[in-house]
Amino acid sequence: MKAEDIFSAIGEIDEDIIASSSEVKKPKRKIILMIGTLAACIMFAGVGALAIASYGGGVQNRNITAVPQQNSQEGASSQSSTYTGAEQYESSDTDNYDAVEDNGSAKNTTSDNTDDESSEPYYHIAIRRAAGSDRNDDAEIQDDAAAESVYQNGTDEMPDVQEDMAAESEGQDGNSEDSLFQEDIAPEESFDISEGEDIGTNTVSGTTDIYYLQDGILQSASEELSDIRTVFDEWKRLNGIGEDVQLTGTWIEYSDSSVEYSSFDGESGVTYSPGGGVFMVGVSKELENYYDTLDPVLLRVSLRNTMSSPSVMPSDCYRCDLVIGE
Amino acid sequence: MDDEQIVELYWQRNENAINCTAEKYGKYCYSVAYNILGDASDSEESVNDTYLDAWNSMPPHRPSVLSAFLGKITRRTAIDKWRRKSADKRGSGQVPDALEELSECIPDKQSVESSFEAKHLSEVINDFIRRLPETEQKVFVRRYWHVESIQTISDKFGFSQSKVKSMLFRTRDKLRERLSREGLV
Repeated sequence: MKAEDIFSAIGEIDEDIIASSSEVKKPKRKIILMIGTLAACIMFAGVGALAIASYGGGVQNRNITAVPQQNSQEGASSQSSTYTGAEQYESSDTDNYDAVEDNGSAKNTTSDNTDDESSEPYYHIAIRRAAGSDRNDDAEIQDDAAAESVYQNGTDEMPDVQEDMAAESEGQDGNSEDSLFQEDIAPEESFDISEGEDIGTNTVSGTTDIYYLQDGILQSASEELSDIRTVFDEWKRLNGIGEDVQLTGTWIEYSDSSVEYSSFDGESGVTYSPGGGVFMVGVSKELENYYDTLDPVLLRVSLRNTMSSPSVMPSDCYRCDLVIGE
Repeated sequence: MDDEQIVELYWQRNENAINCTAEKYGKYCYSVAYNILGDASDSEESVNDTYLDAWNSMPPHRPSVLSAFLGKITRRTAIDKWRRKSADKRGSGQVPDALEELSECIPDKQSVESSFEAKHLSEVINDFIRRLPETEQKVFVRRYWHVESIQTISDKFGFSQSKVKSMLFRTRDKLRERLSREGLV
């Protein structure tokens, strides 16, 4: 007997079993405060409040601490085609973390004190929810790296590797990251997040970089736009995409992470781990109708980069993901 | 239009049956085909073949769950197409991964030798899947019948990918035991 025989036999199972497999309910997630072992938590003067995230919907209702500081032109430019959430966290100075106000609104994260070495260090505790779906950062990095090479080379001849990367990222199911026997990160002990927060038509402030394809090359244009739907419409216009493609929604999902904290006592170093939300952007499946005329990898990169602009993406998100057709 | 009405159109040999089927289940059939083939034009072709097969099957069939009936046809058609394509080169889609996982259930590489054995295998697997706990059943079917990726399944169920993989691993292990008990491996 071969695997194909089993595969074919599975195809002949009863129709009621097939039908019932289509009824899938996402379980509600419970928010449980995961306070692991904390090193000494000392709050220096000038630190914002500690808050424990409680999710009721809407950005303003969340008490989130330790958001990455979106600062300076360098920080902003890192949100462009070479931006990857993991890289930013690994390389950024921990002094750039600012706490969030008690009322739940984020502090101004567009400060310009990145290079101010005399800034007081902050001591933060951030408590993150766990048990979301694993995110495959490798696919994002590969997409962005491929796009960047085309962007920089200014050539419309795509690297041969790009097609392989696209196929690999589309077919990837996290095998490269997770062992089959890897323990779950306590999936039952997860935060009750009510399937993410729909932040609706969020306003956009400042200049937005809209990325688009021209002759197969990724380009960008800076524009002052007022809200995310306008950003999306402009992205469509620049990419020659019609009205059949719609923005279906935006929301935030939180990635797997336990307690993250950083401490500074003037002597020791600081440790932290990536956290924060993933800014989800839903697009209708009609986008795939344009894959024949526009490179699908670059097209998705262009949208992701556009939505990752500091003026668009919520400040406590470290990455943007696309959901097409769902 | 509900399934019963659509099936009735087939029985009346009303060509509108195809339009109604396409409208209601076109996307579903396409997604089943695409998961297997990973190619848009091949998937479209499979879906069109499905409509033709459905037209030829009803009558005499009168399926109670039209979506599953059509899905089965699409799956069979897509797998046949995949086999033809994979003779030339490695196919895309999730089929190679799914087959590799299922090969854990069997130690040898010989095909089933008789239609009787094939029928017995189908019955055993059907019974095995039916007896699975609800969530395990759904995850298993979505992986090996719908041929969805691990990531898609984890997103749909709200599980981590690790959990999905662990669940599938345990289920395949149980399947291997069951096949062994039945003398099929």
